[in-house]
Amino acid sequence: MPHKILLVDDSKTVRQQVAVALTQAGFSTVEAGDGQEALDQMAKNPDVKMIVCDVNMPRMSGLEFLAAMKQAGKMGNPPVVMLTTEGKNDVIDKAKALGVRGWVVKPFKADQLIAAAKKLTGA
Amino acid sequence: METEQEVTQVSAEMSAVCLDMFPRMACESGVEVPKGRVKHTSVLASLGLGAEDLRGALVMVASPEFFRATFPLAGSPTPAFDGDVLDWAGELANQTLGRLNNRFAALGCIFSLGIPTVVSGEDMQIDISDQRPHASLRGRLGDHEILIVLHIQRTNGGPLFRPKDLTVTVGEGEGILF
Repeated sequence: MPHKILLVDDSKTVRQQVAVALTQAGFSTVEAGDGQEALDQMAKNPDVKMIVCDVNMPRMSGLEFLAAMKQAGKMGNPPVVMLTTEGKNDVIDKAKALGVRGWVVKPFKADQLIAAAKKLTGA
Repeated sequence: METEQEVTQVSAEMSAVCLDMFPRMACESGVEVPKGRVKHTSVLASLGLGAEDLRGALVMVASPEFFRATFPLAGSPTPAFDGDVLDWAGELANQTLGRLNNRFAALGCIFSLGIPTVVSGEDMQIDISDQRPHASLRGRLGDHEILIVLHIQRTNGGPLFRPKDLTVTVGEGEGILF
Protein backbone atom coordinates (compact mmCIF):
# COMPACT_ATOMS: atom_id res chain seq x y z
CA MET A 1 0.00 0.00 0.00
CA PRO A 2 1.43 3.42 -0.92
CA HIS A 3 1.85 5.90 1.89
CA LYS A 4 -1.04 8.38 1.95
CA ILE A 5 -0.32 12.14 2.07
CA LEU A 6 -2.89 14.84 2.83
CA LEU A 7 -2.52 17.97 0.64
CA VAL A 8 -4.00 21.16 2.09
CA ASP A 9 -4.11 24.23 -0.16
CA ASP A 10 -6.91 26.56 -1.25
CA SER A 11 -5.61 26.42 -4.83
CA LYS A 12 -6.79 23.37 -6.76
CA THR A 13 -3.95 24.00 -9.23
CA VAL A 14 -1.32 23.67 -6.50
CA ARG A 15 -3.00 20.56 -5.06
CA GLN A 16 -2.95 19.00 -8.54
CA GLN A 17 0.71 19.93 -9.06
CA VAL A 18 1.75 18.36 -5.76
CA ALA A 19 -0.52 15.33 -6.25
CA VAL A 20 1.00 14.60 -9.68
CA ALA A 21 4.53 14.81 -8.28
CA LEU A 22 3.85 12.64 -5.23
CA THR A 23 1.73 10.08 -7.09
CA GLN A 24 4.49 9.61 -9.67
CA ALA A 25 6.86 8.98 -6.75
CA GLY A 26 4.64 6.19 -5.44
CA PHE A 27 2.54 8.00 -2.82
CA SER A 28 -1.24 8.30 -2.73
CA THR A 29 -2.93 11.59 -1.85
CA VAL A 30 -6.11 13.03 -0.39
CA GLU A 31 -6.94 16.74 -0.57
CA ALA A 32 -8.42 19.56 1.46
CA GLY A 33 -9.08 23.18 0.46
CA ASP A 34 -8.56 24.74 3.90
CA GLY A 35 -7.70 23.89 7.50
CA GLN A 36 -11.23 22.87 8.44
CA GLU A 37 -11.48 20.46 5.52
CA ALA A 38 -8.07 19.13 6.54
CA LEU A 39 -9.36 18.33 10.03
CA ASP A 40 -12.31 16.52 8.42
CA GLN A 41 -9.98 14.56 6.14
CA MET A 42 -7.79 13.60 9.10
CA ALA A 43 -10.87 12.18 10.85
CA LYS A 44 -11.80 10.20 7.72
CA ASN A 45 -8.27 9.07 6.89
CA PRO A 46 -6.46 7.89 10.03
CA ASP A 47 -3.83 6.22 7.80
CA VAL A 48 -2.42 9.57 6.55
CA LYS A 49 1.38 9.39 6.91
CA MET A 50 2.24 13.02 6.19
CA ILE A 51 0.57 16.40 5.63
CA VAL A 52 1.63 19.08 3.13
CA CYS A 53 -0.06 22.34 4.13
CA ASP A 54 -0.33 25.94 2.88
CA VAL A 55 -0.29 28.89 5.32
CA ASN A 56 -2.68 31.51 3.90
CA MET A 57 -6.09 29.94 3.34
CA PRO A 58 -9.68 31.09 3.85
CA ARG A 59 -11.85 29.88 6.77
CA MET A 60 -9.01 28.17 8.68
CA SER A 61 -5.37 29.04 7.93
CA GLY A 62 -2.47 26.63 8.02
CA LEU A 63 -1.25 27.91 11.39
CA GLU A 64 -4.78 27.63 12.84
CA PHE A 65 -4.92 24.06 11.53
CA LEU A 66 -1.60 23.28 13.23
CA ALA A 67 -2.89 24.76 16.49
CA ALA A 68 -6.04 22.63 16.27
CA MET A 69 -3.94 19.53 15.60
CA LYS A 70 -1.67 20.36 18.52
CA GLN A 71 -4.65 20.88 20.82
CA ALA A 72 -5.93 17.46 19.75
CA GLY A 73 -2.53 15.96 20.59
CA LYS A 74 -1.91 15.00 16.96
CA MET A 75 1.02 17.24 16.04
CA GLY A 76 4.14 15.32 15.05
CA ASN A 77 2.25 12.24 13.96
CA PRO A 78 1.75 12.48 11.05
CA PRO A 79 4.55 14.96 10.30
CA VAL A 80 3.58 18.28 8.67
CA VAL A 81 5.55 20.11 5.95
CA MET A 82 4.41 23.62 5.06
CA LEU A 83 4.32 24.54 1.35
CA THR A 84 3.77 28.27 1.03
CA THR A 85 4.87 31.56 -0.52
CA GLU A 86 5.65 32.71 3.02
CA GLY A 87 9.37 32.62 3.83
CA LYS A 88 9.80 35.00 6.76
CA ASN A 89 11.49 33.59 9.82
CA ASP A 90 8.95 34.90 12.32
CA VAL A 91 6.18 32.87 10.65
CA ILE A 92 8.43 29.83 10.35
CA ASP A 93 9.29 30.11 14.06
CA LYS A 94 5.57 30.13 14.97
CA ALA A 95 5.03 26.99 12.91
CA LYS A 96 8.10 25.32 14.39
CA ALA A 97 6.75 26.02 17.86
CA LEU A 98 3.58 24.19 16.81
CA GLY A 99 5.64 21.15 15.76
CA VAL A 100 6.05 21.54 12.00
CA ARG A 101 8.80 19.30 10.56
CA GLY A 102 9.58 21.10 7.30
CA TRP A 103 9.17 24.27 5.26
CA VAL A 104 9.15 24.63 1.47
CA VAL A 105 8.74 28.00 -0.26
CA LYS A 106 6.70 28.05 -3.48
CA PRO A 107 7.26 27.51 -6.30
CA PHE A 108 8.26 24.05 -5.11
CA LYS A 109 10.76 21.72 -6.71
CA ALA A 110 9.18 18.27 -7.05
CA ASP A 111 12.43 16.44 -6.22
CA GLN A 112 12.78 18.38 -2.99
CA LEU A 113 9.24 17.65 -1.85
CA ILE A 114 9.51 13.97 -2.77
CA ALA A 115 12.80 13.67 -0.87
CA ALA A 116 11.16 15.23 2.21
CA ALA A 117 8.16 12.90 1.87
CA LYS A 118 10.40 9.82 1.64
CA LYS A 119 12.43 10.88 4.63
CA LEU A 120 9.49 11.78 6.85
CA THR A 121 7.33 8.76 5.95
CA GLY A 122 10.16 6.23 5.80
CA ALA A 123 9.03 5.21 2.30
CA MET B 1 5.55 54.62 -1.62
CA GLU B 2 5.99 58.26 -0.83
CA THR B 3 8.84 59.07 -3.15
CA GLU B 4 9.73 58.52 -6.77
CA GLN B 5 12.74 56.53 -5.55
CA GLU B 6 10.47 54.08 -3.70
CA VAL B 7 8.23 53.68 -6.77
CA THR B 8 11.33 52.94 -8.84
CA GLN B 9 12.60 50.41 -6.30
CA VAL B 10 9.23 48.66 -6.06
CA SER B 11 8.98 48.57 -9.86
CA ALA B 12 12.44 46.99 -10.07
CA GLU B 13 11.45 44.33 -7.53
CA MET B 14 8.25 43.62 -9.48
CA SER B 15 10.21 43.20 -12.70
CA ALA B 16 12.69 40.88 -11.01
CA VAL B 17 9.88 38.73 -9.60
CA CYS B 18 8.11 38.53 -12.96
CA LEU B 19 11.32 37.56 -14.75
CA ASP B 20 11.97 34.89 -12.10
CA MET B 21 8.53 33.44 -12.73
CA PHE B 22 8.50 33.86 -16.51
CA PRO B 23 12.05 34.21 -17.86
CA ARG B 24 10.77 34.73 -21.42
CA MET B 25 8.42 37.55 -20.46
CA ALA B 26 9.15 41.05 -21.78
CA CYS B 27 8.45 43.54 -18.98
CA GLU B 28 7.81 47.26 -19.15
CA SER B 29 7.62 49.20 -15.90
CA GLY B 30 5.79 52.43 -15.19
CA VAL B 31 3.06 51.85 -17.74
CA GLU B 32 -0.14 53.83 -17.63
CA VAL B 33 -2.94 52.01 -15.88
CA PRO B 34 -6.00 52.13 -18.14
CA LYS B 35 -9.20 53.64 -16.88
CA GLY B 36 -12.66 52.52 -17.81
CA ARG B 37 -14.07 49.63 -19.76
CA VAL B 38 -12.02 46.66 -20.88
CA LYS B 39 -13.45 45.50 -24.19
CA HIS B 40 -12.32 41.90 -24.22
CA THR B 41 -12.93 39.15 -21.71
CA SER B 42 -10.60 39.69 -18.80
CA VAL B 43 -9.64 37.99 -15.59
CA LEU B 44 -8.79 40.20 -12.65
CA ALA B 45 -7.04 38.78 -9.58
CA SER B 46 -6.43 40.93 -6.53
CA LEU B 47 -4.82 40.33 -3.18
CA GLY B 48 -4.66 42.68 -0.22
CA LEU B 49 -1.67 43.18 2.04
CA GLY B 50 -1.34 44.78 5.40
CA ALA B 51 0.54 45.34 8.63
CA GLU B 52 0.02 47.59 11.62
CA ASP B 53 1.15 50.67 9.68
CA LEU B 54 1.03 49.40 6.13
CA ARG B 55 -1.68 48.76 3.56
CA GLY B 56 -1.93 47.97 -0.11
CA ALA B 57 -3.01 45.54 -2.78
CA LEU B 58 -1.74 43.75 -5.83
CA VAL B 59 -3.98 43.63 -8.91
CA MET B 60 -3.41 41.54 -12.03
CA VAL B 61 -5.46 41.87 -15.21
CA ALA B 62 -5.04 39.58 -18.22
CA SER B 63 -7.01 37.61 -20.73
CA PRO B 64 -7.99 34.03 -19.85
CA GLU B 65 -5.55 32.96 -22.58
CA PHE B 66 -2.63 34.38 -20.59
CA PHE B 67 -3.52 32.18 -17.63
CA ARG B 68 -4.11 29.16 -19.87
CA ALA B 69 -0.70 29.73 -21.47
CA THR B 70 1.05 29.85 -18.09
CA PHE B 71 -0.85 26.99 -16.44
CA PRO B 72 1.83 25.07 -14.53
CA LEU B 73 0.77 21.43 -14.81
CA ALA B 74 3.40 19.92 -17.08
CA GLY B 75 2.06 17.32 -19.45
CA SER B 76 -1.56 18.14 -18.73
CA PRO B 77 -3.89 19.87 -21.16
CA THR B 78 -4.53 23.56 -20.64
CA PRO B 79 -7.48 24.01 -18.32
CA ALA B 80 -10.77 23.44 -20.04
CA PHE B 81 -12.86 24.91 -17.28
CA ASP B 82 -13.10 28.56 -16.37
CA GLY B 83 -12.84 27.60 -12.71
CA ASP B 84 -9.33 26.23 -13.27
CA VAL B 85 -8.29 29.45 -15.00
CA LEU B 86 -9.64 31.56 -12.15
CA ASP B 87 -7.98 29.32 -9.56
CA TRP B 88 -4.62 29.66 -11.31
CA ALA B 89 -5.08 33.43 -11.65
CA GLY B 90 -5.58 33.69 -7.89
CA GLU B 91 -2.60 31.46 -7.16
CA LEU B 92 -0.42 33.44 -9.57
CA ALA B 93 -1.34 36.65 -7.74
CA ASN B 94 -0.61 34.88 -4.45
CA GLN B 95 2.80 33.63 -5.61
CA THR B 96 3.72 37.01 -7.10
CA LEU B 97 2.86 38.95 -3.95
CA GLY B 98 4.43 36.19 -1.83
CA ARG B 99 7.72 36.60 -3.67
CA LEU B 100 7.50 40.38 -3.32
CA ASN B 101 6.74 39.90 0.38
CA ASN B 102 9.95 37.92 0.87
CA ARG B 103 12.01 40.42 -1.12
CA PHE B 104 10.51 43.39 0.71
CA ALA B 105 11.09 41.73 4.09
CA ALA B 106 14.79 41.60 3.26
CA LEU B 107 14.62 45.39 2.70
CA GLY B 108 12.76 46.17 5.93
CA CYS B 109 9.15 46.18 4.73
CA ILE B 110 7.15 43.44 6.40
CA PHE B 111 3.50 42.62 5.75
CA SER B 112 0.97 39.80 5.69
CA LEU B 113 -0.96 38.62 2.66
CA GLY B 114 -4.70 38.29 2.30
CA ILE B 115 -6.65 35.73 0.32
CA PRO B 116 -6.91 36.16 -3.48
CA THR B 117 -10.13 37.39 -5.04
CA VAL B 118 -10.70 36.68 -8.72
CA VAL B 119 -13.39 37.96 -11.07
CA SER B 120 -13.84 37.61 -14.81
CA GLY B 121 -16.22 38.96 -17.39
CA GLU B 122 -16.71 40.86 -20.61
CA ASP B 123 -16.82 44.63 -20.81
CA MET B 124 -15.76 44.99 -17.19
CA GLN B 125 -15.35 48.45 -15.77
CA ILE B 126 -11.92 48.42 -14.18
CA ASP B 127 -10.68 51.46 -12.33
CA ILE B 128 -7.58 50.90 -10.25
CA SER B 129 -5.78 54.01 -11.42
CA ASP B 130 -6.78 56.09 -8.40
CA GLN B 131 -4.96 53.80 -5.96
CA ARG B 132 -1.94 56.06 -5.73
CA PRO B 133 0.92 55.83 -5.39
CA HIS B 134 1.35 52.61 -7.32
CA ALA B 135 3.94 50.75 -9.30
CA SER B 136 2.82 49.19 -12.56
CA LEU B 137 4.21 46.68 -14.99
CA ARG B 138 3.06 45.26 -18.30
CA GLY B 139 4.36 41.82 -19.19
CA ARG B 140 4.18 40.30 -22.63
CA LEU B 141 4.53 36.56 -23.15
CA GLY B 142 4.13 35.70 -26.81
CA ASP B 143 0.75 37.04 -27.86
CA HIS B 144 -0.45 37.44 -24.30
CA GLU B 145 -0.24 40.45 -22.00
CA ILE B 146 -0.66 40.95 -18.30
CA LEU B 147 -0.93 44.18 -16.34
CA ILE B 148 0.27 44.10 -12.73
CA VAL B 149 -0.31 47.01 -10.36
CA LEU B 150 0.97 47.22 -6.80
CA HIS B 151 -0.25 49.85 -4.37
CA ILE B 152 1.61 49.88 -1.06
CA GLN B 153 2.18 52.61 1.49
CA ARG B 154 2.73 53.32 5.17
CA THR B 155 -0.42 54.64 6.78
CA ASN B 156 1.72 57.09 8.75
CA GLY B 157 3.45 58.37 5.61
CA GLY B 158 6.84 57.01 6.67
CA PRO B 159 9.43 55.40 4.43
CA LEU B 160 8.41 52.08 2.91
CA PHE B 161 11.74 50.36 3.52
CA ARG B 162 13.15 50.50 7.04
CA PRO B 163 16.56 48.84 7.43
CA LYS B 164 16.04 48.44 11.19
CA ASP B 165 13.17 46.02 10.42
CA LEU B 166 15.25 43.66 8.28
CA THR B 167 14.21 40.05 8.66
CA VAL B 168 15.66 36.75 7.47
CA THR B 169 13.73 34.72 4.94
CA VAL B 170 13.86 31.31 3.34
CA GLY B 171 14.36 31.81 -0.39
CA GLU B 172 11.98 30.97 -3.21
CA GLY B 173 12.06 27.30 -4.11
CA GLU B 174 14.10 26.45 -1.01
CA GLY B 175 13.12 23.86 1.55
CA ILE B 176 14.31 22.91 5.01
CA LEU B 177 13.54 20.08 7.40
CA PHE B 178 13.66 20.66 11.15
